[in-house]
Amino acid sequence: MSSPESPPPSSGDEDLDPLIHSPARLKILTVLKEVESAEFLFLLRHTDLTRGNLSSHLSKLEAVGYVRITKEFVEKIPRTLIQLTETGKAALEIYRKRMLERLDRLK
Amino acid sequence: MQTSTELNAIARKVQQAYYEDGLADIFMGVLLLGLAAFITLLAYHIYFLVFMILALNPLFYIPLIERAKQRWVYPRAGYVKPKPLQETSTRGAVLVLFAIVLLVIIPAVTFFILSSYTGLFFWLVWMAPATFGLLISIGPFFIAYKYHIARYYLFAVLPPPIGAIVPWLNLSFPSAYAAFFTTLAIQFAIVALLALFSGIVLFLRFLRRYPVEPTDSAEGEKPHVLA
Repeated sequence: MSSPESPPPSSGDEDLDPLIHSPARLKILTVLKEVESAEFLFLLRHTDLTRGNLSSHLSKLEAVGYVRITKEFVEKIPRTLIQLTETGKAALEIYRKRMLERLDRLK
Repeated sequence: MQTSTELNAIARKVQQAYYEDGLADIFMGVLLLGLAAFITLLAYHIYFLVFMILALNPLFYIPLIERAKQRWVYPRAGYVKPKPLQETSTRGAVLVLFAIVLLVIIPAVTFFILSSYTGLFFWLVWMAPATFGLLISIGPFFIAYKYHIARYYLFAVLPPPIGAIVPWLNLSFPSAYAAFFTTLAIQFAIVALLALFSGIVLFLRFLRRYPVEPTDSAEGEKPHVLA
C-alpha cells in the first residue's frame, strides 16, 4: 500500500483502480466528490453502509491517501470530518475515464 | 458493478441534502414575510428602507440557519460542508448575473419608454410589479435548477403572475407608490407563506425520519473511522 497523498496506484494503462472499483468505496467517493467535507454520520446516511463497513472502507481509502480524516471540536462536541484529497479526486477521474472507455468498447 | 444511474442518484441526493430538512425554506419564509412587512411600511415612509437592508443582510441570517442546523440537523443527519459556489458552478453564477442585469434593464427601459407616454402611475401600478416579480424569481429558480428541487420552481413561477393579477383587482390605494409597494408585498407574502408551509412539513418529517444518533464522544475518544 502506498503512503498517504501519494499518486494513485496504476497497474497498467487499462486497469481499473481496484480500490475504487469496489461498489461501497465508489459510493463513498461519489458522496465525497459532491461536498467539501462530510461527517461520518452523513456518509453513513448517504451510502447505506453499516458503521463497521464504512469505517473499514474509509480506513483503506485513507491508507492510500484518497481521503483525509480529521477531527475537530465544535462547542466541545467532537466532529469527525472526511474529505476527498487531490489524489483521491485525480484517481476518481482516472477511474471514470477508463470506465467510460471500456463501456465505449462494448458498443 | 454500480450503475452510473445509481451513482448519479447518490450525487443528486447529496446535493439536495442542505434543503432536505426544510430549515432553508422556513428561513426563506420568515425573511420574505419580514420583507413584505417592510415593503408595506415603505409605502408610508422611505426610512423603512434602512430596516429592510439590515433584514436582508446575509451576515445576520446565515449564522442563524447554521445554529439551527447545529441544534436539530447535524446530530441527526451528520454535518456536511458544501462545496464553495464558485467551484460548483461558474457558468451558473454568470447566468444568474446576466439574468439580474437583464431584469434590471427591462424595467428601467420600460419605465423610460412608458413614463413618457403614459406617466409614472401606469408604470408603477401595471408594469413594475410583474417585472419586479421576475427579479424575485431569480433566487428560487437558481436553487430549483441547480439542485433539482421541484418546489422551488413553484416559488419561482408565482411572483410575476401575482404582480400581473393584483392590479386587475382594482384595490384602492392612496397613491401609485402605495399600489406598487403593496403589490410587491403581496408577492413576497404569498411565496413566504408557501415556503413556510413546505419548510415546516419537511422539518417535522425530517425530525420523525432521523432520530438523534450517538455522537463521537458517546463512543469513546477515537473517531469511528480509526477505531
